[in-house]
Amino acid sequence: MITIPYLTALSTYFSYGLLFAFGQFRDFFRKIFDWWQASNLQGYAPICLGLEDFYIRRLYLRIQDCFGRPIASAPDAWFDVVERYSNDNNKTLKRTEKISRCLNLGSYNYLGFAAADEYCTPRVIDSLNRFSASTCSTRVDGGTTTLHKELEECVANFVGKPAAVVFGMGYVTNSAILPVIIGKGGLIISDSLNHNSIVNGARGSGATIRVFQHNTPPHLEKVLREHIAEGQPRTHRPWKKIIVVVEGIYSMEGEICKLPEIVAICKKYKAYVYLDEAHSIGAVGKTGRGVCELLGVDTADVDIMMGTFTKSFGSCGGYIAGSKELIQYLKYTCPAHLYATSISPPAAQQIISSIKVILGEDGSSRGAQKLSKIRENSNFFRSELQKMGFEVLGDNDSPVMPIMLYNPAKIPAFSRECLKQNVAVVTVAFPATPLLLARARICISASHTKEDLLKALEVISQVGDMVGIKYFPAEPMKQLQHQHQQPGKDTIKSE
Amino acid sequence: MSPTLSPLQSFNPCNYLAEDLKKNKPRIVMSNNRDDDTLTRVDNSFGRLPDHLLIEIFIRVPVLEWAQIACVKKHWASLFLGESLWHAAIMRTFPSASQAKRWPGPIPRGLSKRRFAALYVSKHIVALDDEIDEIVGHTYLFLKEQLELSTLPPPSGILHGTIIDQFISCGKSRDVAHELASQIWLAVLDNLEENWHTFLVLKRLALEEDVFLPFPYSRSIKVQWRVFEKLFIDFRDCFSHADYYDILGIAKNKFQPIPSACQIILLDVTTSLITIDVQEICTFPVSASVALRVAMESAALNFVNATLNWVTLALDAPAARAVVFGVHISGHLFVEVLLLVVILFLLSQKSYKPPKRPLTKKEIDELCDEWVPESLIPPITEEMQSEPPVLESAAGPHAIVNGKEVVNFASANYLGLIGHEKLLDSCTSALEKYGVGSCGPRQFYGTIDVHLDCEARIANFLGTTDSILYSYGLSTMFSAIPCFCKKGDIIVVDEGVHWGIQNGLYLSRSTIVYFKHNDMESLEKTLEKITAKNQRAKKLRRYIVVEAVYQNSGQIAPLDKIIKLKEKYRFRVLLDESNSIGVLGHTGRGLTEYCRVPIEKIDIVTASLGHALATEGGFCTGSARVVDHQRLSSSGYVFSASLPPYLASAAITAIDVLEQNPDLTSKLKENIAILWKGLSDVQGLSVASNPESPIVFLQLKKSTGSTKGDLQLLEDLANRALEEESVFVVVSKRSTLDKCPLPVGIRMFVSAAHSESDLLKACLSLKKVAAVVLKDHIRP
Repeated sequence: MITIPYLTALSTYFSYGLLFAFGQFRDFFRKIFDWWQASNLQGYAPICLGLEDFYIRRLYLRIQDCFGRPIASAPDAWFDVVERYSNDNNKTLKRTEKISRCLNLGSYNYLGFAAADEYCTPRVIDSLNRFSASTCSTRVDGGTTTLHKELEECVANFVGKPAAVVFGMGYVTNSAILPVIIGKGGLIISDSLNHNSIVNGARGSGATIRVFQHNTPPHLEKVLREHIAEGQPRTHRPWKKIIVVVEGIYSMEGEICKLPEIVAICKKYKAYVYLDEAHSIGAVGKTGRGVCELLGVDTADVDIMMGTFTKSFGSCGGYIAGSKELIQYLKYTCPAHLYATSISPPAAQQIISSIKVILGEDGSSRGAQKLSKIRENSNFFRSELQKMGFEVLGDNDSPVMPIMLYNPAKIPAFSRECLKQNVAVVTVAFPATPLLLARARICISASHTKEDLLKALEVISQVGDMVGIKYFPAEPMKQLQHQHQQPGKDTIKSE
Repeated sequence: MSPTLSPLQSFNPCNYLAEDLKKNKPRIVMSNNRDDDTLTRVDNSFGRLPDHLLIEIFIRVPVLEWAQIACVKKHWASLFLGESLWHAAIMRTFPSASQAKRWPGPIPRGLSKRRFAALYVSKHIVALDDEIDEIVGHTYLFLKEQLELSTLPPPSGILHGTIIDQFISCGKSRDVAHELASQIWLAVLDNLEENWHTFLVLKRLALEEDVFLPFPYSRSIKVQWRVFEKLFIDFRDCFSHADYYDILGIAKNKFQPIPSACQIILLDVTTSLITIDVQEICTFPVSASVALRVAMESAALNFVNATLNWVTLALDAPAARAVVFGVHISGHLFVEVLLLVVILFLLSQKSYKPPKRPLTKKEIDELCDEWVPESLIPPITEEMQSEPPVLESAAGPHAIVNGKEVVNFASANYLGLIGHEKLLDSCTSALEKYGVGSCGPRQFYGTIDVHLDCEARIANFLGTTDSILYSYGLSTMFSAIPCFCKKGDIIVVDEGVHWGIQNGLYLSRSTIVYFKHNDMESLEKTLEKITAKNQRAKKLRRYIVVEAVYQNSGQIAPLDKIIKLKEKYRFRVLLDESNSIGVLGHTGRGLTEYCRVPIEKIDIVTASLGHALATEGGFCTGSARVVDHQRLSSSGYVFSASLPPYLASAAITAIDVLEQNPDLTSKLKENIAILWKGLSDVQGLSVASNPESPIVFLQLKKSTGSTKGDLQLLEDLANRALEEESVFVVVSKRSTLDKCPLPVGIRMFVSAAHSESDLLKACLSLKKVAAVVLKDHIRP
């Protein structure tokens, strides 16, 4: 759990209060002017209701330039960020031709497959020429090619499940699968910080949804016991089935799921486990097989394994892996399989090739190197950040490390200052995190070199001092060591 | 000095006037003699004025002065006795008073003087809202006279009855009559002079026995209470001991006991009225209304009170007449204190709740052990095991399935752009530059310049201001709809829409009303019903959701009619152009071009890029506001990795190709016409789609009676067509989640890349296969 310092909480509340007050004040005047100009709605209700986009108009637009920065190259370790300017106080941003080469700490390019790869790219282009960019058809109609078959076998084999089915988009995978496997009379117990796609899928299923405290197995057990004993609300009939939905690595917290405990509890209470490995598949584990491998959980104990190919594999789409029967049933009735265009063949080829690289089937040890590199990089970077006194969330081995910012003003400050020094970081605010817990998120890649990381640390430390986000005291011993490593940088660290 | 003289009485000129004029004539004479001097002086100025002028002057003098004026001179006094002055006064003071000579009812109207008095009373004494009712005044005078003047006034029931009769005969309702009568009684009782006569009258009233009378004739409890109140407060000293207890007894009988809560409130009253025994006062109700309510309450309360009285008396005996700090301590006080203690005790207790016995740990363990979940998925049946054909080549017009070349009607490759060289080139260069995936959501460095270019290209192509790219066609609708529709909004939607839209509608939690598939009459009726029924609908957001070309039936939505209806009923339109972009219209700009509707009239347009444009993903376009709103509120946009850049660049190229080759759409149109014509006489099947739709939808002429049976039959047909005739057609399969009620059928996606021989071959093969497969089905 994140414990926000008392004073910081107060100042954060104050900042939002101020922003809100000014927003309301400006809205008031806008209302007057709108009234003056006479509405042009002609009997239609406004398409966005007043408060619905208040947050966007009055808070988000002010710092719009920190989000959605366009890039003009592959999202590799270094990439080209397109510069933008605004003539109307950030209301609209215009693209320029100018680009700046920045260190990429924002993309989910965990294994470095985002850029052209010596093994993958030629094969991808081959399959593009063979199968074209799209099948224009759904999987059940004319959208299944030999490539798709191969991909499903390859994924099932990689994940460690008897069968798998792939879809063209990770988000759809979650939101279209849950309604198929559970419906009214079922219970979904979801981690409180699960991704929006799971939330949407759960909502769309019509099942009852309960939440357990983020990554807290004892609370999960309590919720399970309570609900099994109580049955369905009002009727008290026993639940048809219970599915516990957890993520492998929580993308906004960088925490690794306490899977062994959760699996043990689910086994005890006969609940099904749904594991979303969007961020963990390929990124963690000795051979990149995700949290199950990392934490030593038998994949047979996880009933439904979901994952995406967007992150580690540098492609797009998602998969569901499970028993042969489950996959057969999904292929029979899952709307994403029946109605959506099948995954683009070059993207499928990219996944197959990257899995081959990870498993060393390409005949080199690049995959193993990438895996050890990302673990080294992540652990080094995390420990350095912690030593500097940042409040870093997440567990060791996880390539995602959020740095807490809290105050709304620190969001643009941190982001802009880092960008000035050619380090591109992601700052995350309200729709993706709770209002108070704004943070910067750093995603480490295997393609980062040691020099890249040192530069990033130096910039972040400097900006962190400037913005005031080192909420913990720094560790003096390690700082000395750090200075020893980098003799030229002591001026920055000496404060 | 009487404490009961109400302010009303002390400032009541009419009382003063009416009585003085009548009775105290001697006073006039006396003053006449005494003020001779002044009189002569007055005479000088006024003496010679004619009577009518004098009257005019007098009536302008305030009423309070009239008694004095009458005392000035005999002649003037006589004027006040005459009719004409009063008549004039009525005319002046109460111009609205009725001029009618007579009225029905027992109470006489009298001469002008009496009328004046009556009017005055109704205006000043009986408080009515604004209007002056003359009858009220007369009734007041009548009652007052009866009580004051007659030595033995008739029983109150008769008086009250007379008043009620009067009111009713003047056209008042029974309730109003009763209410007015009560008010008059109260006013008269309050204005009685304080003398021995009044005391006797009041005593008589108090001693009268209760006779039961029906509603308007029954005397109100308020009036009866006032009689006792006056007796006990104003005329206390007149009572003899015996009388006092008599009346008290009657009062106790009449006004039934009161709840203990009132007694406690009354504690206040008791301390202020020291001389009256605390005990007696307290048994009186606080007000008549309370008494009424209480009287209607159950006998149980009576019993409690009787007991209480008994206890009071019992306790009263020993502590009689004890005085502490000037307060008489009687048994009643004990009871009150006791009650207070009990109430406080009860208040301090927690309210009663049935004891909640949570399940013990053991019980929960048992329940958990006993619980048996259903299996994750239902048992696999044979129909679930069918595997789709696997393509060994690109899904172009000719594809390779099982090593055999087949004519492909399963891909929505309408423009034949699959395998188009320009597309492949642009994909290749994008792949080399950007890699495959974008590795991040749009907000977090997942925006690549080709995305922005693609959005601008689409907006430019369709003539809108901006557009937004989604990374998957299916997610476009179900992310965009919940952005603009929330709980309470109204969505009118065609029943044949595809699952992506259905899911979006479900997620939006709006009120959803379906209309018959592609039926404009049904749509109009639905809109009419919604707007007529619901006045509040004007403030809600209202949408019509339709597909341009329905994936489930191949019908084309009549957009021009929809626009007319939309404008009539003020709905917004959400249009899914997935199967019409690049297909309909001269230049392939979709249904808007086909129906000649300016695209600005459509508020939100969504489409999949995975059909005619031969890439993947989807887009939504509309006004800048519509697009911008989605960039932060659309979950499928915000929370998903962006479209792979090579697919975005393919989309740009596809639009370029489409714009450069306008003959693509005309070729497609020709192909559709050929296929449509060729398939119009297939045995057992009918073409259900629109002649211009790129989806040619074949339906069974005669359904087997179940969707499953139909599906089986059509599936068999499609399989044979593929295996024996090398024509790849597919059946429209339905997910168990899909709520679409339309019949299933064979769906053929026509492409501009199909040659005429392909199409003719397909028609022939289908006829051949249908004749075999549907043989058994058609004959019986």
